[in-house]
Amino acid sequence: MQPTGRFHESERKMKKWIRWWGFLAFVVFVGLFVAGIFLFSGPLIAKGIEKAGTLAMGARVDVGSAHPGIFPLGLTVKGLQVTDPDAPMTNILEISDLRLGLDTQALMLGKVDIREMAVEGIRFGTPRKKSGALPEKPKEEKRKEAAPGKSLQERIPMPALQIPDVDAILARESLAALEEARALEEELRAELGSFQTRLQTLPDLRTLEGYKTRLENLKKGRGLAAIVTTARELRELKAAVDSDIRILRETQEDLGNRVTVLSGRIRALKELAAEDVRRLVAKYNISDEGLGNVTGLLLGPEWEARIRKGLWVYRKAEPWLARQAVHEKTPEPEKRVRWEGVDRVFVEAPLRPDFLVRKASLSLHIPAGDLKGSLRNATNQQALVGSPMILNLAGDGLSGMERMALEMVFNRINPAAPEEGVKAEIRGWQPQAMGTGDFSLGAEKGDLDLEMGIRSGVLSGKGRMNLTGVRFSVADSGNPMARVLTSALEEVDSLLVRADISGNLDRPEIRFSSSLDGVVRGALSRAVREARAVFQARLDEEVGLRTEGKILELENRIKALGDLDVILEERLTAARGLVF
Amino acid sequence: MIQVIASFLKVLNSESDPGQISLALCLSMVAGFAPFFSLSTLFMLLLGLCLRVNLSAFSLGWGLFALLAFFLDPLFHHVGWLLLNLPDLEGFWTRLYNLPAMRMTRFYNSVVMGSFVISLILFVPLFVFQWVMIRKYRTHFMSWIQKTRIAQILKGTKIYAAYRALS
Repeated sequence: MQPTGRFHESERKMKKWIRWWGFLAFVVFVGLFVAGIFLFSGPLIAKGIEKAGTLAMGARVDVGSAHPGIFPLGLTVKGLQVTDPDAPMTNILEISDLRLGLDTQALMLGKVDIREMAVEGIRFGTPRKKSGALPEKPKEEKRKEAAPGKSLQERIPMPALQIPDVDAILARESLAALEEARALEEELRAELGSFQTRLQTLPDLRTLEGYKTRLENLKKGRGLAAIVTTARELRELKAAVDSDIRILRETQEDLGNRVTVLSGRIRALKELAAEDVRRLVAKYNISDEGLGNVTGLLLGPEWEARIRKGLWVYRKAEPWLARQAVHEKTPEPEKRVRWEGVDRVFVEAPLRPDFLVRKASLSLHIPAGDLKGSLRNATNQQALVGSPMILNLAGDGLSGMERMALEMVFNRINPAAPEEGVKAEIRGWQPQAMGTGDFSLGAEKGDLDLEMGIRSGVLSGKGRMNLTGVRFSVADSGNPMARVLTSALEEVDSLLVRADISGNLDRPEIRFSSSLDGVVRGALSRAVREARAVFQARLDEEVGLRTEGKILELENRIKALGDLDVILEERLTAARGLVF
Repeated sequence: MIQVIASFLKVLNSESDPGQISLALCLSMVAGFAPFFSLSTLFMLLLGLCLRVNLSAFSLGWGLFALLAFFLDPLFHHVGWLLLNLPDLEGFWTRLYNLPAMRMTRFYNSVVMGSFVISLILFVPLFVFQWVMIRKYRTHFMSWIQKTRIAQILKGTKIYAAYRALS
């Protein structure tokens, strides 16, 4: 069929207005531009990831290579290494291969919506060839954690079970019994002197004999005048004798009272010595304090360090989770940039998060083997997604354990009340020796469960570790307490360890308890009791030796006082024998 | 500056249709007023290349209008911001804002919006004005200008010959 004239006319007009080679040039130009971006943007993307990562982590982040993809739109990153800020020659995280596919429409709306992501070869704690420390940033002082490798004595504040040197103690301690004995000795000496002086002033036997002679002479008198005189002198003599008897009796009573008092104090010296022993036993006590939480002391530092490390990672990620993107910007420009203008932000419908990983498959390599898992809804705007971020990892038939599973839930749907949770489960665990230095704990098999939550920064959680076929190894350091501990631990076959987690992110508190506590505490307490009894017996003996000699000496001195009483009694008898 | 005037005269004195020159200048106005990295720039480049407009006029005009935009940006910003905040258009802009392709045009930017709207308003009047002026120039002034020394020099260059071959 021949073309009509009208068709020729329209074709001519079209040719007049359309420049096909121009269109071709445009397509080639745009094609080359886009191809150039995809070919040469990889290093720029890698640099961007390194820069942003380094800024966020405070340590060097390296990317081996980055390649953007067009069909489908995505990105492949290889050789991602994140340095541990506390150990610059170690990577806290290493990812060998990361592939992600982007939602094109979301990207056109300025959103990064990752539909599918595959992260393979995740490793922790790998060595670095070059230090990842940032030279320009001053190093933060490392937090001192309970370092492994400490001796048993350092890790557990055990009583040494060494009986203190009694002689050395008595050389530096003053005994109340001896002090009292010395005081009594002085008093006795003074009393004896005082009564002896007083005795000299009292009528003696010669004076009384004089009274007797005078009485007999008076009785011999004859005549009225003599009778009158005799009667007067007799009255005077009787008065003098009565006065002397009274003085002698009073002195005897005084002496008796003093002897009674001083004898009582001498008798009390024995009780004082016993009190001294009790005081010294209490002062140089071999206590069983500090044995209340043996499990925490034995296992705490290592497990605490692990939990603290996990919390450190969480604290690093937490600011990102807490950051909420602003969707409703103020319509009024805050700053007018003359050549760039101001973006007017309208309401998005539907609201989408700025960054979202809908689903990621993870392949994690740990020393025990490979774990597979997934990450869902990774975003810092969970309120827009309506679902929490969930991380799952699990592995079966691993080296040294039958099964391991981990679930982490980051619930920020309500940003005002964030809730995070971790559940970990290990079954059929064949733990390697736990603890270092001269103490270690091994077990044939173990199961571990951990459940921890963080609500608005407050920690709460419980852990449970059930170990069977338990065996302990305590190095023989010559410490008797260590031997007691070894002996007690030999009887332990299974162990149930509980951990209670509380506190907050700044000050996490982890309290461990186990059936071990009672066993160890009982054994050590028995040993402490025995050592304490030996110590008390030695003290009793030594204090007794020192005080009993003094008591004997004092008793002899008080007998001297008693002798004065005999003299007084003799004089009183003589005085009372005078018959008027 | 002399080179620019010479280039302009060369375009005017060429055998291109006045409509092709005028349209090229109008398209270059849209491209020049808009920020360089924008979809409307790319679209104008596509039109400039695909439509049989005068490429010299297009490239020359792009440079000139981009220079002019440097001074007009505050005006673009005010007009664009006014339009973007009109309550009656809020729903319309919101719908556009939620279309992925439209979001990429950055129409929600005050300078992009202002420059685009002003370009559209000026497009037809400028086209007619330029078309008329070019025709008048060619009728009344071209023969006189072609006799000038500068025009003679330009017509003798190889660039002019190449240009003739292309246009």
